[in-house]
Amino acid sequence: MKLNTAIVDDDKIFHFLMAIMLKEAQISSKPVCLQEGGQFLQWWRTQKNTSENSLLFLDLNMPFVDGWQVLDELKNENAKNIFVVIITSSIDPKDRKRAESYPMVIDFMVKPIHLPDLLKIKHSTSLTPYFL
Amino acid sequence: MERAFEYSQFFKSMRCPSVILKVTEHGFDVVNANDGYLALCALSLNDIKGKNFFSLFPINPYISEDDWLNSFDSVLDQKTEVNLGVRKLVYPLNKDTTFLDVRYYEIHHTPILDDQGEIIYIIRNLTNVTQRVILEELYTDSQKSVQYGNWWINTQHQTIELSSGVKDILEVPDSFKPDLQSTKRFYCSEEEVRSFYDAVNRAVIDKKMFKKLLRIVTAKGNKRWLLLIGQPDFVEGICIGVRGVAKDVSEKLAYMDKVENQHNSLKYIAFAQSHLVRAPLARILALVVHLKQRFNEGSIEPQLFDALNHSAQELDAVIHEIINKTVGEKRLIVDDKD
Repeated sequence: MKLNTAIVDDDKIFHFLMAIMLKEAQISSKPVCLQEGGQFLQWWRTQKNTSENSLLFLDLNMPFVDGWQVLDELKNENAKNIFVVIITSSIDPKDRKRAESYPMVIDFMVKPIHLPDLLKIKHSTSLTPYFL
Repeated sequence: MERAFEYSQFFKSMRCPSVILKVTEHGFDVVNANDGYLALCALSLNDIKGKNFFSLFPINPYISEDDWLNSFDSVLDQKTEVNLGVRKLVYPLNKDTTFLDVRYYEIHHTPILDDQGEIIYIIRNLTNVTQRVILEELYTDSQKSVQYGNWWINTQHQTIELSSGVKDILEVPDSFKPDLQSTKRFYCSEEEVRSFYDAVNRAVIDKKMFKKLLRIVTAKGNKRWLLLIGQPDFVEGICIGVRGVAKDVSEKLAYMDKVENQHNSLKYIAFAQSHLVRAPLARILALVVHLKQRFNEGSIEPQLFDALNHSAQELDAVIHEIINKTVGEKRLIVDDKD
């Protein structure tokens, strides 16, 4: 099964580091890097009707369309074929609790992200079938 | 003789302190005084009988000398009973008083006329109203200290009454005689007037209590927030008026505003620490890990140092912005001393 990977974050250095780690973790060799939620939603609309699933690393605090708005939109569209991992610098427990209320969120990771964190994700129940 | 005795006994046993004064060319001589008056003066009838009134009581420390010495002018002038109103006196009422025991009396002067219509006697009655005056003063003081007062609209006569507490809030003198028209000037706008009377009308129709927060302008031009709580008065199902209390809540609202501002500041600080500060900090931490790994592999990309430098500068800028917003120029957090 194919899993398309996208990183949505307004921080280009994070894109750079995340791309390296995703490659090292053998999750994705060429993730799609987007800088805010609006760009992602455009990309997502081209993906959602395909049979392929998506893994999204989503930041919360971004200009224009932020991570919360993206989650709301995915929830409204009843998105099924997407797994969302929140990647944020927020250590506010309220953010974690709120994020966990969205059914498509499979993990909440606080930056900085390390390789073991990504390996843990890769071996999670939701994603194991894609990395057999 | 029997008749004179009866009147004398009647006068003597009257509880209200009374003294009968004969009007002479020289002034006012004491003819008789009842037990209540003698107790008030702590003197016997022999001490005062035949004596000039002002020689017995040369001064009243609580009213001006002129007012005191001209106490009988009004009754002499009008030749009918005169109410002097409430006056402050000391107990005992004599020249040996310590001036410490203060009492309040409502004083009446009643003239006794001869056949020619001239005043020959004046009966001076003093009704002790000390308790009532003290209660009124306490009530007024409490209204002032907590900045509240009472109001009453008489819907039958279209009149309005305001307590001293409300007058104090409105910064008008106690002598201010309000009416429905004149009180409209205290509202900030026509809309406020309408909104108040709408609330009153609804309360009358629903026969319920109402609460209304109004922005007013006092007679001295100061803006205040007034919380009005009122209820209609019904007599046999007919509304005769609306009465209630008014409380100046300006300070409370200002305090709440300040607390809300501080709350917003704290929310901003929490947000800033969680998102704005941690964003470059987390990036620096990630870069350091990455640099260490590359160093061990002997393949450091020079642009990683630029990224590290950029992140450190961003962190510094974020910290400066937080300081500016909270205690700097924008001063979201204001010290209580300010």
